[in-house]
Amino acid sequence: MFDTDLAGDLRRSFAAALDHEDPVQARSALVDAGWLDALAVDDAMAVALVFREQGRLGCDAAALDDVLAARLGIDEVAVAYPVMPGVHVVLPAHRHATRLLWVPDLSGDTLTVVDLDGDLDAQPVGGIDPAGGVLGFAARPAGTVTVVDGAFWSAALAAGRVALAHQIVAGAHVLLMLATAYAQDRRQFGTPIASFQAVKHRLAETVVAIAAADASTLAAATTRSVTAASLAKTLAGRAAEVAGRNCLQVFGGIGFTSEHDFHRNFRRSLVLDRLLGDRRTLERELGAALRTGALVGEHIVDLADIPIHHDPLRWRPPGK
Amino acid sequence: MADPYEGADGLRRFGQDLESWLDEHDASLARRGPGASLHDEVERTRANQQRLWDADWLRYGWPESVGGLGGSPLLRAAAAEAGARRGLFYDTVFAVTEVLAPTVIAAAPGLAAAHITPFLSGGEGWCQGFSEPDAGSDMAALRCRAVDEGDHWVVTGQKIWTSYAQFASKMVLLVRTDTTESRHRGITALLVDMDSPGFTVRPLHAINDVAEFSETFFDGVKVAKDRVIGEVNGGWAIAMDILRSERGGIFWMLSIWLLDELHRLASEADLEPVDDEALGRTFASIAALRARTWTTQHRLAAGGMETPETSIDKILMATAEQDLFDLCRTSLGGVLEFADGDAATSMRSQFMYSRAASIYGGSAEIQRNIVADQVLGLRGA
Repeated sequence: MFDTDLAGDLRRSFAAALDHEDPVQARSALVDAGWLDALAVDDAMAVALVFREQGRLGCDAAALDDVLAARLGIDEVAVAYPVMPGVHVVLPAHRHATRLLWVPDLSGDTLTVVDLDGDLDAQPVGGIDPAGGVLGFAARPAGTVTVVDGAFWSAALAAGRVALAHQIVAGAHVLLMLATAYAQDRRQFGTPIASFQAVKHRLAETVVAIAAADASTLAAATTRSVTAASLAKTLAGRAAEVAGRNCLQVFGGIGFTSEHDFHRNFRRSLVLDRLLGDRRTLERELGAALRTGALVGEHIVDLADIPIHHDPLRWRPPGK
Repeated sequence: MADPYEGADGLRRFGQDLESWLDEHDASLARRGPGASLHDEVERTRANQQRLWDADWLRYGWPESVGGLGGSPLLRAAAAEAGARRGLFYDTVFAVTEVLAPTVIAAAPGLAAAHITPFLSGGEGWCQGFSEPDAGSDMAALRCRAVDEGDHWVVTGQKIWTSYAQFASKMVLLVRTDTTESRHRGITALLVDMDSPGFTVRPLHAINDVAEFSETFFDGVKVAKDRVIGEVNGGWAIAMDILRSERGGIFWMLSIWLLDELHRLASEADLEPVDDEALGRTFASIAALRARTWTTQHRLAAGGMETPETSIDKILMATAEQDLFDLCRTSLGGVLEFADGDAATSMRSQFMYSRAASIYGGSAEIQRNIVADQVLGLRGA
């Protein structure tokens, strides 16, 4: 386990590594900063540090691929995520990869690793977040295929969902801080719009949604329960939706222009929601599990579970 | 006294030992009977509370000065949850100790040592006299007054929304003791005997068909000078501390109640696949409350949480409770609206009670104001 001082040092070095325009460079810097070693030593804390920073900075070093690979017990690999019928995506930090983990769907059946015959020959998907640059595949590319044991898939999927939840929560928190600072500066009717109760309540509801997702993510990271991981990802998706709706409303017209940062954050959150199960699909699966008696006795988290170390979210915008 | 549940796995060992004891004594602990009245439920809760106190389980987490055995306050939350999970308590009756006692013990150690043990052990009830007809969300507008008559106070005025007042022996009462300009100063907290001359309790029949709340009237009630909790004119801080306890300590217990109700609905309501999404959504709302209160419990125990942040927990609690009972109503095919059996009556009462979750203990609007003003820092924006 890392102590708190080491965690602070790691966070700073991961943040510096992730501060690159090009995701390939960010990935390489992140690996140099010790990400894979940290993942091997204390995965809950390493994942919390890296994915919170990815969310905060709006940068993606394909650390998610490493989380899945570690749980599946395979070497570094780019993961092809199913996102809609006939479309798989690979995170752009892995665009030069030579090995691909092909995930046909989220059931964990017929997982394979493909050692590619040539380069990873794929085009960026346009979609809602062209700047994100994820690569698209219609079918498994050619190469030498090895079957992966699916026994560890549910644990890998849960770990991936927790990692994404960290990233989504941190992204929503950034948006909330921007909107809060904007509401304090933007004046209408001779007063900052933050003085209007209708605006305050939208921002407060966003705090609540983010705090709920934050706590659920910590619970899932602490307990490593598959159910808690699904709940964390669905609540993170819900928090991103709430933040997207309320913060745009606070930004008003300026947020609707491409000159403002709102849309970049919002687009990323929509893409992240689709990775490893979207908010609504997870709710449906959780409901089905409850209805069919698969979750009898499930209480998500116990008082005796000691939360992993994590700095509480700060709710004041920087400089305010 | 050495704390046998000290250390990193202390809570887990406490939980295991308590579960073994509860398993052994389960048959002799009273459960809710069909058609039980509120009076029956209060009696039953206190009887079970006394059993658990006498067997030491409820003494952990309270200081030795009040009859406790010391140790982390988390032990109290663990005991409350274990009891709630087995249906040993009318939860909101049991939870009053968690609302009032931590503040009284901290702010008035002498009063607590002299009076509070029967309250903690289930021997008697206490209640909380805060709201008034004209001081609801705006609590600092309270007008119930205590006049200094030399060797005692004389209290005149009215309180409302006092939970379980008709079953209580003592009240933690907020009164105005000074006419200073600042509304938040000039308020004092007193510990008042309910059998004092001039003190009247009038239960209010609520829309859940239970009279949990009362109006209370003070007609020249004498209160001894040594019954001040904290400082004279320092009552606002006492009230804020109690509200933090109310939002911190109890919601952990309520989260397991909501989760158990959800499991019951899922297993008994003949739900179909088409219901999965709504069921999962409500599950997530309850999980949000449970995870949040889990972090809150640990932060409060470590002393690292301010009162305003607990408003987040209150909003999550009201949301989860209303989501759940809305789902119960719509899933039960008319049972809640038309059936009159014990199960339906009980469910109906809980459904109606859940309507108040966004009103009591600080309305949803006040909580959002607090989050915006004091958590995000928008006060005076």
